Amino acid sequence: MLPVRGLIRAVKQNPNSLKYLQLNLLRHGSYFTSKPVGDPSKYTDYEITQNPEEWKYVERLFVKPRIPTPKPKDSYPSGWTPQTVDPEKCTWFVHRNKAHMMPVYLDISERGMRRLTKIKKVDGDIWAFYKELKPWLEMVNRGKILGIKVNEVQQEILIHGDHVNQCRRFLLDRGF
Amino acid sequence: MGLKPKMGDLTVQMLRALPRIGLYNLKPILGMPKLSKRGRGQHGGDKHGCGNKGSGQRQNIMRPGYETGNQPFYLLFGNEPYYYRHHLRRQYPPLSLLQLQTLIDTDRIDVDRPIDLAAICATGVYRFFPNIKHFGINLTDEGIDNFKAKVNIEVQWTSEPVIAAIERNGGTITTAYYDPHSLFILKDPLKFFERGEAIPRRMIPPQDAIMFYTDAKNRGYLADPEKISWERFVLAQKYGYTLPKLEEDPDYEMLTERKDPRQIFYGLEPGWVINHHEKVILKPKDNELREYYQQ
Amino acid sequence: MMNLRILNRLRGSVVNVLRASRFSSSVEGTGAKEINTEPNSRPIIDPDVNPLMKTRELKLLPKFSEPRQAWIETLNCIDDKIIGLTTLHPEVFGVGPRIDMIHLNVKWQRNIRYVSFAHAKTRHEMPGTRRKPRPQKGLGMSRHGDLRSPLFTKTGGVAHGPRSPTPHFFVLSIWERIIGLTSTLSIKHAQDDLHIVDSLDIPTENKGYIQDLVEARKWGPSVLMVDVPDLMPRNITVATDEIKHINLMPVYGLNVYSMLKHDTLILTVDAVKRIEEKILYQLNRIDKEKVCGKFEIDQ
Repeated sequence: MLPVRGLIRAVKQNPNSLKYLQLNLLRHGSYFTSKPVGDPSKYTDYEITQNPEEWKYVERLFVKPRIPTPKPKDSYPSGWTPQTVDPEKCTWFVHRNKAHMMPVYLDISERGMRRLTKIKKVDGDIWAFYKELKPWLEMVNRGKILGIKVNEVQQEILIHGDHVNQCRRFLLDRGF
Repeated sequence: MGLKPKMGDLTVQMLRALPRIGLYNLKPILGMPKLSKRGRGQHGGDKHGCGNKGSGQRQNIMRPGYETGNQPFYLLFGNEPYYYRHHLRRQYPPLSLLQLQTLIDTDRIDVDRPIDLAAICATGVYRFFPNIKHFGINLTDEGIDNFKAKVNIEVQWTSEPVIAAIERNGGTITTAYYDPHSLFILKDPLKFFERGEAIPRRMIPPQDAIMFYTDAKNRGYLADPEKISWERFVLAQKYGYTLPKLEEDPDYEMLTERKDPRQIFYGLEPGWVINHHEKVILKPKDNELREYYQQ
Repeated sequence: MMNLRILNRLRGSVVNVLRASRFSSSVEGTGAKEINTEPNSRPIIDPDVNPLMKTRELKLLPKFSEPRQAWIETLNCIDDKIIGLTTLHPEVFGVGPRIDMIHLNVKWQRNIRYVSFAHAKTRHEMPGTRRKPRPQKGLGMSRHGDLRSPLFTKTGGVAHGPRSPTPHFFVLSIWERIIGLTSTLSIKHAQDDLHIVDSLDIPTENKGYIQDLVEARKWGPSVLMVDVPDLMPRNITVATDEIKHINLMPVYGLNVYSMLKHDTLILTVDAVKRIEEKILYQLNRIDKEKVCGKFEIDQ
């Protein structure tokens, strides 16, 4: 579609370039509906180049297949912190997600009235984590009894209310 | 091996004591929704929840909005131009400086190269859909106080404090326009290369945008470079920081790398066909084509 | 982690205590019953070949986990012969299995191809005339237009019955499929039903050889052998051709249903590498929108 627009503009700018029109710059629906390649003289001449300097610019555009572990730095101005906990000393462990972020999420539903805090990727003894988390959260929330659900099969913990920052603080303090 | 139960260890112990799991002893999890079957007889059958007589049972319900004859609400008001010319309005989904700094901290974006829309889309973090009138990145000032990276960034819309924040750290910022066709190409370059088409020329901005992109205050890509240097100096005075000297920076070449107004990718000219499978570039030899693409 | 309730609901609750175990070292002795290995089934380590701790370099290992281990066996002789030891990636072979996900995968594999040909005729399809059975008024009886309406139990059609052909195809998301595969592989490994061999080369094309081998090693009656290429060595192809319960499969055909249907799963070392490569690629990929996003034309 759009190459044709460029083509029309080229013709308008240079009305004598019918040669350009004659060149088959059509885009067919599929490989099977397109006509077979014809006489090479009717197609524009091109050169094949293999320049490593130019190829570097193409490689820039490739998407990385996975996110590599961030290299250690002196400071992180954005406030992101890497995981510093020693897995050998843990009975329970909260993995970082693929983006190396903390797996604490907020689910909002019922037109914003229902807010659930979800902590995912809890490995190891999830009940020990629950026993540590519950009194700490209730203390931080001034003694309010919170509804906390432990989902052992899916390795998740669900907390009623918006306690995302509190849970992040809890995990950060322990190096997760 | 310690006593700490690791991933799957407890389940391994349980499974070793239990019978072999096969096709014959699988069950779904509790609470999975079941397909509802039509009720028959006393089990949801008979009138099937439609009640007695009336339009409900007779499947002759009035159409939504119908007000039994009088002019309905949805037809009372003739003109409600809430979306007037909405198809002509450009949208720039925001990307905050905080997000950008987080991307740099977690090594998801390379600071040693110029950052443009293609680089941001390649991280997978930025949600950008050219098909619904998105025209590029709007760099917002959230996280401006903690922005400490030195970058050469090219966005489509930004504000004055953001420009100051980037230039204060020794970086450079440019605002550039891309037409929708170029945006699709930038979002997924590999998919474009698969088509086997020549890289097209980028189009110039429309009438209502050209003033923005020719203004040095916005660091527009069509603005006079001398005026841009002057504006850099003025902004530094306004926000009270000493403007770092670009010329003395070891990354001077990278920081001043700019695209031609007709160029979509850094280093790749319009008219070229990229074969990324065989790692070759096909360039046209015809003079007319070359002239056309160089315009 | 498993929910005890789900595990307890498994039918056939008689515990199989007498299954020979070679992995007693990898299990904490807290809950599992002590399993006695009979002298005949003890692995024979070939003195000619060094019993190498062939620890493969595993990439992308998650924290707080340890690689699983498995013996590398050989099919070259009937008796159990071990030629090495390999490590298995915990995210592929050592996950806490999700039985509900496995059930979903099996249901998906069954239903993806299932077409129900059950058909109930509607009133318009029933044989019979369009004649009004009796006059509208005057008889003191109910009014009817024809004898084919669903009101009539014997002569009438069915209003909302099954309509042939009804496909039950549905798409299971790629993440659910991966969980199914990793859970099944982990179960097979945990329950000693996974054996790793160097290759599928056997000395003869005699089907008796394979049968004796399976008998001697106490592998389940049904065996699934997986290798990377789909052209398998000639001998094993001929030997297992007539045996319906011993099957060969290339890696690209590996699926939850087949793994559960066959009691024992045999993977070659190459197959293990390929499976890990593919599953780890999927587990770590970041272009989720491309995979799960809605299909749009002209995009």
